[in-house]
Amino acid sequence: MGPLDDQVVRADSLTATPDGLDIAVYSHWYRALPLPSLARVDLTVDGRRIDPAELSVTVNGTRHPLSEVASAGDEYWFTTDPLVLHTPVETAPGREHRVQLLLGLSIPYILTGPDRVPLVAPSATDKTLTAAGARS
Amino acid sequence: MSAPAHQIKRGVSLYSFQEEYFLRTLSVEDCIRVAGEIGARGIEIIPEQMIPGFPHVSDEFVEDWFAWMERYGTTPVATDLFLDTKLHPDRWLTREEQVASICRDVDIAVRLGAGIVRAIINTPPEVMEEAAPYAEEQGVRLLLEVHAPFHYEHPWILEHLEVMHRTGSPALGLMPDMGTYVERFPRVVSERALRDGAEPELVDLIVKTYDDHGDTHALMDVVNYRGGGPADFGLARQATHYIWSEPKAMLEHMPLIGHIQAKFYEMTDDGVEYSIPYDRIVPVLVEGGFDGHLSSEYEGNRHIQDVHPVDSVEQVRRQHAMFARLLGETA
Repeated sequence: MGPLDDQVVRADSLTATPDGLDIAVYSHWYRALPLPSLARVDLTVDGRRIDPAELSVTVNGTRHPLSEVASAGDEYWFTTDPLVLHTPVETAPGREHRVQLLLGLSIPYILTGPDRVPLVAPSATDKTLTAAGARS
Repeated sequence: MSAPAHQIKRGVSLYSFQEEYFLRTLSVEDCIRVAGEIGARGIEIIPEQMIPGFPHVSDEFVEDWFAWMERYGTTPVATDLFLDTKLHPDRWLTREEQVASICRDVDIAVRLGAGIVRAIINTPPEVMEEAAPYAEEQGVRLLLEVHAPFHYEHPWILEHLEVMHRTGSPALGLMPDMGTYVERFPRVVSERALRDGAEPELVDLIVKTYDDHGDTHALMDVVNYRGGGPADFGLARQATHYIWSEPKAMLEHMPLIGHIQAKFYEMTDDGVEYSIPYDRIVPVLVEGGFDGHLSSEYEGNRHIQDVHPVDSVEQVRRQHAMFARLLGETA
């Protein structure tokens, strides 16, 4: 964790869609990571913890339920591209939301300890931001 | 002016500019432009860091890449591969998959015109051996990074050396990382620990133990007995990740050494690296007849980014001014 955490969720990260609140998330690791590296997405919006089972993510134009990213090893999340978290939180353009996100990126080549567990690089975000309207 | 009595060339790993790239203040093209301006003309890149769409490398990117090289007077030299042995959470990559991963990255190097691929330290010797014929066929050398805390007597490196000597493959070799020659503890790291709440007495102990080349592995216990917190433990752990060893150890392995990752943490206002004695390293490379690139690898950004804007370009510029002096290009 460090000051670059500030870049994980940005001022323009929130988008209101008819299906809920989308949150654009940026990686804080220096290289693109395969999607199974998305090991921990602990998201609270406006004080309500979002069940990971309700989340899906879009990366490189393809949408995956969060529960299925572990098998999407061919898909890479690029260093400068956002990964969009789709949440079921009701919203509208112009509405403010407090977003608390603990992101844990499992680093698949840095293994630690006798059990060879991948290092988890964490970042923590706590920001109140305004949702923009979905771009047509 | 007499010609320099060596063939050592200067370059930079674009990894050095990761802070600016991350913050979008430098694009890949900008990184290559400043490399050319600095005289670091041999370019090393981490494809996963800077090629959008990785592992697919588009024709458009390749076209831009070679145009940039021409425009800025630079040359592609090396790419860095990773081996994601825990790509799948529920299983280890098979040996076959590991070899396939290496071959995929050899193909990327070929696309980018780089003749050298950095094989990350966790690449098993048997995977290097199996990938070597493909790399040779593609005209690429797979160089194992010798990264701290590893050194030439470490069992893992010895296993690799056994493969290199037994097969005699021209595609295999070594890429020493100068982080193995950290003589003095980087002050950017200890100062950051203090800002993060480490106890000054424990920081002094850790730095002094390291600088005296004492038993850094015992520091964790001492920090524990002194009631240290996370910043103290982090620093004690860090002290076991750096090593100092004698640069002359490279001489014996020089025929295998094809590229140098010139790691650094802080180029001071006096134009020297605070921790790594390049004035004693470069003469060893000259003596050994090394003819590859000294490729800058700046890694100090993460230790100062909480208090200063990071200026990686200036840091790399200073390192190259030092290299130019040590290589006899300037007085």
